[in-house]
Amino acid sequence: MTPTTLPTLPAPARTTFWQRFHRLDEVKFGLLLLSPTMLILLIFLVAPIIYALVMSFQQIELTISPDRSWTGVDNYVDVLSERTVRESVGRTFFFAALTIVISVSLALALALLLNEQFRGRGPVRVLVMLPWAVAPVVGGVLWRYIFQSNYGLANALLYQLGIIQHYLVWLDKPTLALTIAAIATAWKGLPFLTLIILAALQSIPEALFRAARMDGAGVWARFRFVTLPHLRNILIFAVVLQIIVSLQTFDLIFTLTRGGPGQGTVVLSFLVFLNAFERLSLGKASALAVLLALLIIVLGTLSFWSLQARQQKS
Amino acid sequence: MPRRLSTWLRPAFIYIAVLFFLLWTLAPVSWIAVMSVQPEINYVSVPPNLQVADLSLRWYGAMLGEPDFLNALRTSAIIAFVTMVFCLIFGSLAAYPLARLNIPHKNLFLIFSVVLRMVPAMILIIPMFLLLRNFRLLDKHLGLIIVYTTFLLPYVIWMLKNFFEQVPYALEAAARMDGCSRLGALFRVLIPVTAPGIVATAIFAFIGAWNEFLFGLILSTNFAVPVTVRLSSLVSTTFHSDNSLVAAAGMLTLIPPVLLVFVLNRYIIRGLVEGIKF
Repeated sequence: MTPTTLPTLPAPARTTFWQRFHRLDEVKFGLLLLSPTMLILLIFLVAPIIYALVMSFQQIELTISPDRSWTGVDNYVDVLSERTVRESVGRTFFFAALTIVISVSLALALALLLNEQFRGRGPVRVLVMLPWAVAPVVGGVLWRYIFQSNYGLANALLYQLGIIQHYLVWLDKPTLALTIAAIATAWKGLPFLTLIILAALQSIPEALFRAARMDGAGVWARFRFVTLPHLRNILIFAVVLQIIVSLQTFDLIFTLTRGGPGQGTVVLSFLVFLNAFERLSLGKASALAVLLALLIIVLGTLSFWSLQARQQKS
Repeated sequence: MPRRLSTWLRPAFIYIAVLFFLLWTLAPVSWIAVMSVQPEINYVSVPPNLQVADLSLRWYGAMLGEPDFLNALRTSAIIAFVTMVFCLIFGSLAAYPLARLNIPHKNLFLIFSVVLRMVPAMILIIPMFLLLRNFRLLDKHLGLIIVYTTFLLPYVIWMLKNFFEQVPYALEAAARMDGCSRLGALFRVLIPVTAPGIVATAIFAFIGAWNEFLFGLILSTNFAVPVTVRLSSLVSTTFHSDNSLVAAAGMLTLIPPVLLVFVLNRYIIRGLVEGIKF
């Protein structure tokens, strides 16, 4: 009798890549998905930031020589003691404050308006979004043509209304030019601020207004004691956002005035640009950029944390 | 009596305010729109002498006939589109685990991407120039695409994360029960369900890339110059040439994003509000 051979079990197939991929536990799977994006951010965002930090401690004057040498904190000392920088800081704060006041107050007004019922509200809501879509560079061109001395709309209108007897030169006076830059920046930022304030307005329970009305509260009292407390956080957020935006403004001023008249509209970010690409002193420009970034991040983070803390409390 | 007063006072007040905001919003754009279809002599005269008879689109024709400008429009369109696609791919890959999976130090990742949103472009520009020069990506479409994708990603991740979080977990669990893989659940359930949010994020990325200026100015010289940079060079060099041309160029630069916002307004508003929620 020949022994019957038992069929042997097939050798276990090797696990394929996809099988192993699907068996990953949640943590590994999550990190795997995160990794490409994090890698991109590390290479193209974090590494450049670190490199800028390194450069800010080096002397790099490309107009003099391509060599670089370590100079410790010299760049920072230089930057902080330079008169142009101090003047620019003053201009930047003036510009930022003006931008914030104009944009946040107008945004609040517009959001309250769009929250009311009126005919044509739908189209108006769409139309006022327009500046958000316009590039800052184009925004600079638009406002340049409004305040241009020979063919600007402002001059034409004021002249025809008889308010001025001859055309004015608007962008030749530093303070006025800076004010116009602030107005243009506020124009560009207004839709977004309006949008987030409007979203907050719409989340206020209607019952609160009815209760206030029953207690005899008028329009002003309802605004003051119901609406405003609910908008507090979002208004703080709007201010923070505008601080960040206005401290970074560059594009718009580039086409509006090119920093002129003289140095009249050279805000900090514009000064970084001039140091880097006109004077080619990369070390100093980096130091200035680092200081600007620190200013923005400190202001931004402080308010972000205070907002989150308040949200968790309520 | 006071009631009758308020019945017309309130609408009057509202419509005056509406008029003010419409003027404020539209006047700057309307003025260059007018300039772009009128010969310069008409609006330079005091007072402006605008003529319906002189209406003409020839300045648009002239700008579109200019190879440099046409090339810039094409460059911006290509860069903005590819940037949008990259943002969606890498953004959703990162947003999914942040919204759904239990990974350690999740908050750290989130705070990291918020802080990155605050970093001013000015600090990046010099290192970015040197980095792209090393990779031989200066004046190339791909160079700008990478840079734009990188600085838009922190925003995109937050928007997509917030959209994903709104989808009920049960929907995804059901798909997994039916044999969908985790990645399948992301691409077959989560992304289709959040389609409006994805559209909003896509438009945000497209407009963000189209409107960018500083990196384009420094990182491109001849070949891959975006339209915003071309426009700025027209503004600074045409002191003696035709302003109607500059106005037409300005209009051509602003029309694509503005059209997107007007047509897809509903999505964008939701998306923008989502993007700032923490």
